[in-house]
Amino acid sequence: MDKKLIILVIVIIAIIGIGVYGYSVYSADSQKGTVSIYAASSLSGQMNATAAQFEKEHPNVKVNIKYGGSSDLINQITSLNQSVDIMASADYGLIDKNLMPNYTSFNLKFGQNQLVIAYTNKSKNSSEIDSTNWYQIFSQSNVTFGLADPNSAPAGYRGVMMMELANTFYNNSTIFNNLIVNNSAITATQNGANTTINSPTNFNPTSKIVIRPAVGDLMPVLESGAVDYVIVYKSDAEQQASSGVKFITLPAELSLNNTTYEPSYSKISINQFSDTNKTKNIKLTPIVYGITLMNNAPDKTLATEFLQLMLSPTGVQITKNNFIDPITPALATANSTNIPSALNPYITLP
Amino acid sequence: MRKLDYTTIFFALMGSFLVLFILIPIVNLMLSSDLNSIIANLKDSQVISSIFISVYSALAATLIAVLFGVPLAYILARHDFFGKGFVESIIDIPIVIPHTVSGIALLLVFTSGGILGAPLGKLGLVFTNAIPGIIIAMLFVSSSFVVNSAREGFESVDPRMEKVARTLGSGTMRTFFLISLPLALRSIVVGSILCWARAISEFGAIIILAYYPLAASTLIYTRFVQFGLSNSTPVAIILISICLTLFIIVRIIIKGWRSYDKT
Repeated sequence: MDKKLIILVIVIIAIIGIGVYGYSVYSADSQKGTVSIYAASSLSGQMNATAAQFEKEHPNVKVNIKYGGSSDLINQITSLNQSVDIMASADYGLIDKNLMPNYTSFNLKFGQNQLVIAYTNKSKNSSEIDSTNWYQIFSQSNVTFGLADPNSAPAGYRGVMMMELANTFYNNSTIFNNLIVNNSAITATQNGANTTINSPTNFNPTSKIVIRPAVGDLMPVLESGAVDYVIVYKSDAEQQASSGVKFITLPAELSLNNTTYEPSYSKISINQFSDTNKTKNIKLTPIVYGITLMNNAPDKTLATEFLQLMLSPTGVQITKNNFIDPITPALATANSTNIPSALNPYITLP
Repeated sequence: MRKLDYTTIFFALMGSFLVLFILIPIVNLMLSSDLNSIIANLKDSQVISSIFISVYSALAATLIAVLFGVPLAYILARHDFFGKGFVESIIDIPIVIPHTVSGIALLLVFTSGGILGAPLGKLGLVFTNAIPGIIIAMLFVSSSFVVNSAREGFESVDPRMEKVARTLGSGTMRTFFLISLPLALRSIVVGSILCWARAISEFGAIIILAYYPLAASTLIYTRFVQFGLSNSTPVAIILISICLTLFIIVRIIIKGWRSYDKT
């Protein structure tokens, strides 16, 4: 009996010893450097590839990226005081409105994208769908479609506002009501030429609409056949092409990547969390991605080097390869200040 | 061979529905990926590292649970005191509340400015986005398995045996280690296995407290969301296989302890 006890004690001490050793090795490793990033989920391909390149050029540095809906991520920074080095948003406007000037001092527009409708072979009536009839196919009773949550992600509110735009473009004032208002808690009010959409905290979808907090979360749902069509970015659809995902492009007026149509976009806006006193109004603008380095970044030097790589010709090529249209040189917004000088070769100053 | 009456057949039929309900998704998942992608993932250092983090952190959490839970279980088994029901309910709370709620509760306390996080931070212990955070998230949600199982084990040890040892001159601590503990050991080990398994599978509390470094459950989720179904299933299969193997090994080991059971 005593022998077994001694063996047990030895085993326990050994396990604790291995653990302490392993932990010290682990923490020594991570002291070499970490870059922490919050990025829009549609940037996952581009950011993962840039991070891999960065880690190759900087051995013993780890790039930790958390993806999500840009509104959600920014909220975590402002409400939960999460400290992070870099924030990359699918809507540069969110950085301007929420992070400048208290959390960050500059905002660089670095990429563009467009909305598409993605589907697979399993999607109902997928052989007939095209850019002129998609809203009719959506309105069929057994067809389901997916959106990001308008309160969590730009892809969500852009998708919803695009459907309101569709009323004007297809000259059919029932589209938005049929597809969105009748299947959710969302409402729209007209005042003159302007339309304001109200998005309460709970989207409350019927079984016709699938909602996810980030646009990337919609792709596995589509691939499993649990939804017929999803409104996502072109980059999301292209990235999953090898898994059998196809997409139709939308007419230029609706795809949100053309500045020619900006006057008609600006007539539409959305109130996030419209049923609370923390509601935020966002106007529809063409899809432009913004990136910034936070004021209280844990590792400013390393983070600046990451941005350098991302905006350099190497990084721009990686961005292109991952189906985001790069803006190069990146455009600093008008109120940007204190931009690290190392980035000057790759950007246009305000 | 025992004669099969209708009750046995009926119960077996009902039971087999439950077994199939669990078996079919697991088997389907195991067969959904081809060997090549599984092998490729086994060589992926991110996959190896996250599985190591999950298994080791769960082990650490289980050991801490045993170290503090077994004494608690002994007291709950042997003594009645004012507030005993309250203590027993507290231990069971983490099972009842949603995992994300546990994560939020822990975040508020263990963040670098929190009541426990600040003083422990001065000692060099960081919980948010670090392995200690993963360990305490796992400890929070799974420790009750050890306490409840150990308590039942101690309750099934006849107190008279302990008293006999005392009359023969054995001190209280020595009696515990030589009489009570070995007789309750099987229950404690079973509780520890459950605790360890529950800890490995924790996700909600972990992503709130320590999204990075990636535990296996977090990695599978990020692969699912960033790369799609077909990229997450190989890692899921690897994790299930490891858990099942360790589970079966420990079960085989404790089979030999049946001789200590009361009957």
